Parts: sequence; C-alpha cells; structure tokens
Amino acid sequence: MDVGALGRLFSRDHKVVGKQFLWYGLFFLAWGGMMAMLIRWQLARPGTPVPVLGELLWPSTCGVLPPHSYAVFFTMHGTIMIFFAVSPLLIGALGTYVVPLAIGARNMAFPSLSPLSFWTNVAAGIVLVVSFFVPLGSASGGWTAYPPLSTAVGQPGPGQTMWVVAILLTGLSTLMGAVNVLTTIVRLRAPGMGFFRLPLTVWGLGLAAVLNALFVPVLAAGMILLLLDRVLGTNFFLAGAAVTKGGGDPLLYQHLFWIFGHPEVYVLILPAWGVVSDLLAFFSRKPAFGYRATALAMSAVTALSAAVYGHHMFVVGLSPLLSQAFMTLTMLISIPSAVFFLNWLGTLWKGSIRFDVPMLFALGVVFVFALGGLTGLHLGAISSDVYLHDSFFVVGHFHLTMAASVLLGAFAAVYFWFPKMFGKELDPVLGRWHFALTIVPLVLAFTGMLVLGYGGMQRRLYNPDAYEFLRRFASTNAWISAAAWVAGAAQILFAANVLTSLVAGRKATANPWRVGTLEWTVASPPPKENFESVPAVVRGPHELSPPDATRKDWLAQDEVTP
Amino acid sequence: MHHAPVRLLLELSGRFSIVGPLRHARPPENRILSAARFAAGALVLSAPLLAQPVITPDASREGHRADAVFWYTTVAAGVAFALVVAALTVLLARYRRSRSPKAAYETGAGRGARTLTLALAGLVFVVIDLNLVRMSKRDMDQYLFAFPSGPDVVRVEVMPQQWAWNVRYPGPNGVFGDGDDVVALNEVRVPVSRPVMLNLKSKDVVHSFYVPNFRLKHDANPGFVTRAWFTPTRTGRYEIACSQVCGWAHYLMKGTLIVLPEDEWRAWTSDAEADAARRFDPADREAQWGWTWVP
Repeated sequence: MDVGALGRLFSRDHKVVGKQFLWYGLFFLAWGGMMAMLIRWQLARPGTPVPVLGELLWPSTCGVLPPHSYAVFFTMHGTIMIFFAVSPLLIGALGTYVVPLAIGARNMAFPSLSPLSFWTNVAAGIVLVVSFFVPLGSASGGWTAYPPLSTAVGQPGPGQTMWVVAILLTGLSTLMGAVNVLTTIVRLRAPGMGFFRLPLTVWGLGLAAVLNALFVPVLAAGMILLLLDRVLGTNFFLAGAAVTKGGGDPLLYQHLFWIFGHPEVYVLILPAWGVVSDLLAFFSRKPAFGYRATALAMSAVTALSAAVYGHHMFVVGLSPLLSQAFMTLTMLISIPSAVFFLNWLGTLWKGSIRFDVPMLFALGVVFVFALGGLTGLHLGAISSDVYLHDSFFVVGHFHLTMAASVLLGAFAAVYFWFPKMFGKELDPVLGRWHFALTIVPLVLAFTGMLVLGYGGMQRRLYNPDAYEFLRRFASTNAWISAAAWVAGAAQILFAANVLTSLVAGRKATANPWRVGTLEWTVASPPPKENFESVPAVVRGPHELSPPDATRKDWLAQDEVTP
Repeated sequence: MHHAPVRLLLELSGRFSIVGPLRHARPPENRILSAARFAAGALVLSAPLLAQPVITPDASREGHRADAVFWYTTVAAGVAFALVVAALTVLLARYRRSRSPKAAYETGAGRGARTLTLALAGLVFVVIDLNLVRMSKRDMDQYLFAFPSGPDVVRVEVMPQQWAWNVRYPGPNGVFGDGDDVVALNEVRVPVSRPVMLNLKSKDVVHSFYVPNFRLKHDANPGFVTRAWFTPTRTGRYEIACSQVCGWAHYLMKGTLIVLPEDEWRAWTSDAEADAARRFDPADREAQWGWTWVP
C-alpha cells in the first residue's frame, strides 16, 4: 500500500496515530501552560506589564494583561488542558498506542476510526486556535461556560460560538476513540488474556472509555442547545432580563454540564491510576498488590462518578434532599479510593524498589494524589463547601488531582513507553531533574492555592487588590507564581530530553525495564503488525519475582515455563 | 549559605534521591542535623503564612459551623496524609533495592490482605466521611435550610447585575414592590444580632453573593429566587464579593455590608424610607424590580 507522507499522515496503524496524539497533546500542553504562566504573572504582579510578551500582545495597555484577555486565558487554559492536552495525551496517545500492544492485538478494532478520531480532534484544535484571532477574542466565560454568560447576552462575537463548535468536535473525536478502545479491549484480547490478566493501565483506559462513551453525549446535548441559543436565538438557557420569548432555565445547563463534568475528571485520572498501579509493581519487582481489588475499586469509582455530580452545585439552590444525597454519594467514593491507594502502598511493601524515572513520577502521583484526594473532602461536605465553593481552594484541589497527578502520570507513561514508541532511550539524569523541578514547585504552588482559598480568595479573579481582605495575600500569590514559573521552565528539560533522545539517544532494547506485559515481548519500536504470531497469554501482567523463575526475575505474559 | 527554598530543595534531593544516587552511609549526627535544617527550611518557607491569620475574622452567629467542619476535615485529613507520607517514606527507605535486593512474591490476593484493606478503608469512611455527613446534615437542618421567620427577621432582596448589587428593603408596610421600598446600590445595611434573610435573583447572568466574614455564599440566578441568611454579631463594614465569574469586570463587582447597632439602623431606615417616599416615581419602571417575598 501507500507509504508516502500523505499515507503516513492518515495512517490506520494505531502506533502512528498514538504518536500523532502524543505530539498534538504536547503542543497544546505547552500552549495551555504558557497561558497559566501569564495568569500567574497577573496574580503575582497585578497591573504591571508582562515582560517580553506584554508589549507584543497588548501594545494598547503598554504590556499589561487586560481583564478581558485574562478571562480568555483562564477559560482557554482550562479548556485546552482538559480537552486538548491531557485527553489527547492519556486517552489519545496512551489509549491508541498501548492498548492493542498490551492486549496482544495487531491494531485497533476499527483501524479507520483512529485517524478519523485524530483528525476530527485536529479540526477542533484549529477552530479553537483560530478563535483567538476573531473580533472580540475567544471565549471568556470560564471552561464551564455557564449560561447566560456564555450566550450572546454575555459573550457577543464569534469566539464563544467557535468554542462550542470546538468542544462538539473534540467530543466527537473522543467518542470515536472511546468506542474504538472499548471494542478493542472487549473483542481483540489475545487468547488467554482474561479481563483479570489485563495490565491495570488497560483497565484505567477501558473504564475511562466507558465514561466517555456514556457522558460525552450529555455534554454534546448541552453544547447543541447552547449553540442553538447563540445562533438561532432560542431561549433554552436564558432567563431574566435577557429573555425574548418564553424563557428557559440556566440551571438545566449546569446539570447537563456536571453530569458530564464530574465523570470527566475520572476520565482524566483513571488512566493515570492505571499507569501508577502498573509501574509501582514493575519497579518494585512485585505483582500489583490486590490486583483484582484495585481493578474493582477503579470500576466502583467509575460507577459512582456520575451519581455525585451535584456536589458542584451546592450553592446554586438545590433542594436539601438533593444536596444531602449528592454529599453522601460523594463521600462513598472514599472507600474504593482508599482501597486502591492502600494497594499501592501494599505493592511497595517487601518489594525491591528501583528509582528509575518512570517510577519517580509514579511515586510522585501517589504523594500528590493523596494531598489532592484528601482536600476533596472539604469540598464534599456541604458545610465547608459553601465557604470554599468557587474559591482558590477548589483550584488548588483540582490542580493537585486533575493537573499535577494526571500530568505526573502522563510523564510517567511517556518516560516508560518512550523506548517502545521510538526505539530510543530518554536520558535518566535529565529525567530526574525534570521530575524534581516539576513536582516540588507544583506541590508548593497548588498547596499555596489551598491556603489562598481558605483565606477566601475567589477563583477567576483578575485583580485580588480590588478587595481589602485579599491584600495580605500579595506575597503568597508571588511565591505561588514563582513556583509555577519554575515548574513551567522545567518542562524545557523534558522537551530537550525528548528531542536529543530522538536525534542521538541510545538505542533501546526490546525490554529495557525487564517486565512481562506483551508490548515488551516485541522489538522497540514494534514491527508493523505488532506480533509475528498472536501471543497465547498464560499469566497476569505483573509476574515479577515469582518463586518458579530462576534465570530472571520476571515472566512474560505469554512465556511458557518448562 | 543558600536561601531556605533552595536548601529545602537540596535536602529533599539528598534524602529521597530525586536528583542523584542515594547517599547511604550518612553518619547519624549528620542525619539529625540535616533533618533539623529541613524542618527549619520548611518553617522559614511557611513563616509569611503563619505571621497573620489566613481567614477573615468570623462576624456571624453561623460562621463557626463552616470553620468547625473545615478544621475537623483538615485535622482528620492531615492525620491521614501524615500516615500516608510516613508509610511511603518507611516503605521506600526499607525496601529500596540496596536494602532489599530480592522482592517477595506477595500478591495481596488472599483473604487477610483483602479484609485488612477493606477494614482500613471502612475506618477512614466512618471516622472522616460519615462524620462530615453528620456534621453537614446538622448544619443543613439547623442553619443552611432552616430559614428564619418572624417579626425579628430583617428581610432584604438583592438583585445583582453586571457589575453591581441592587438592594431593596420592603419599606414601612413590610411588602416588597409596592412603591414604598427603600432601594440601594452596592450597600446592604443591617442591624447587629438580628437574623438577616436574603432573597437573591439575578438580572442577567449568574452571580454569587459572597461575604467572607460571614462564611456566606449563594448563587443568584436569573429566573428564580434563591435564599440565604445570617446573623451578624459584630458591627462594622464587611466586603461583599461576587464569587461566580460574570464577565470581564467580575473582579470589580464589590459591595459593602454595613452592620449597625440597632438604634443607628432604625434611624437610617426611617431616613431612607422618608427619602424613598419623596423620590418614588411610578414612571421609572427600571427602579421597580422587586418581587414577591419568598419566605
């Protein structure tokens, strides 16, 4: 068949599409990260010109970030990080690249759907990028886009409409990816690969796909109604003075959004949990402690995810009965979370722990997720949530969970599978520095935000100096920003590592980590068809240090022992 | 000598081998010294925070409820986090490759491990989560949804718009929207020690009425009325902020809640009522935005 550049661009090979998603996600990670850096400048030094970039971007304000641009930035930072950086990296890259290899398949179940999903996402990305350059700028109503602010009443101009279109397109892409991953896992497992022999990464990705398949359509419904309100002048989400005919209910949107929105946070974290569960086992040279319980606990979180969404709406005026039900269901999530978390610690127990770079990032997730998960309790309890709602405490909490944990998990995955994907090794010394200079400032910045939130600082605030009670946080905001900039700059180490390794890195062996999952039984990078013959699986994914292995301390999933 | 943050980084790197090979044979006195320096570094880092109270002083009869639940959660979660970090540190130190060259084949699939895990998870659930549910339920019953009624209650209608707070009192006859109402902009005046009940409804987009000193926050939506209440315990001026993003000038949407002694408030009210009667203009429909009170 064709092997030209065009053929490669639209390749149906999951390995090619997975790498495309990787570069795509990293591009938007850089873009979304840059916006975070600028947001932090405004919060650290309100009303002062942004160095270097300021004069270029806002000559009319002598380089000061204007309030409207600030609103665009916090809106787009959230949108890009969630839909265009983390989703492509974990669901797109990891889901498409690793799943078929790890389950012993030659490709995805629907090979054509992979490029279709990727290029639909690119279309969404293009719409989003172009929206920055239209009159009145891009969307600025927050990534949650609550109406009526997100209707033409609050956001005239094409930017917000393009945002809605971009979300619809990326939703379509996500849906295609989810169907593909799910079908692949259900139908294409190699003989002997039972569900309880799948690597936990595959469990995490599969569960995330279930949530995407179920709840992205709910988001799409909300987006389509919002689009009709904006373009055709319907009043689904309008009420109050803006109503022209009949009038609708802005709260309906909030329900639709959070029915999707809460599962979405698990969509992002489940693959990271899976990766961490696997990596802790691999680098402790032990089976994952309580493997089945971990898989079932992750499934339980998945099942609960949409049933707790109301905790995002404790101050909108829900009935007491609904509030209490959502609070109690939210608290139930503690049980499965505690189960897999304890299993992570159990995996380390009696292990022989190697501190390779992927393991450092995995351990980072354990630490950061403990902090992030526990601060969720404050927000699940109505009494304290009323005070903390929409404050920096919320920002700190979800950045510890959704940003820090998920990103560290994504980095763990990249460091772990990079040799397989590209046949080259990443430099471990640069990797260690990247880890240290990422996790320390991230933890400082996000726990600092918890302190700000406890102090009462609202999120999405252009200038904290506007309020008397926030002035004492000037120094806190300054050191949070300093930490964020260090973490941002540290990503240059990662970029340098990836680029130099691709060009001049040491050639990776087939199985540099000496583990037994199927992707490591083939060459690095794997041949076109992945496996010469479809492997017959005879054991679980983490058979490390088994009593019957003598020559080496691991057994491949398809290895036949005498 | 390095600055504290740098030292903290260096110490971290030395202790957990983040940036280099583990330094094993550190003499014990060195280890104690470095631990002390580590603690000192952490203290110096957090000193600006400890120097002054982080949260605004509570000026309401109900605010302590949120504070109590916050601190219960913080202490309980703090203990859990400390245990996790301690376990993690011990496990990583004890079972690192150099001290534990061969891993034990422990799958944790047995009944014992399963029971222990579930028991610990259950313990966390009972000690932290169920208590939070219980305390929140108590606060919902006694405060959040227990709206006050009776002649003692001060009633105020608040209608936010981009980017201001419209305020309305029922006037001498106690009925809203019938021509004798007192209206104000960005200022809510209330007497001390009496329950104040708010009816909130937005004119345009979603806003949120937020008074940090009263631990009070409630959304104001267009289309329907929501309710909130509080009892101020200290006279003074308190900042009202909008806590739901409502457009580019969200950050400027600021009001003042002025808590007056009872007699001063009465004096202000009668002045304002006389003023309102004098200025009432039936043709000015824009000013007549009040709604039927929702008790």
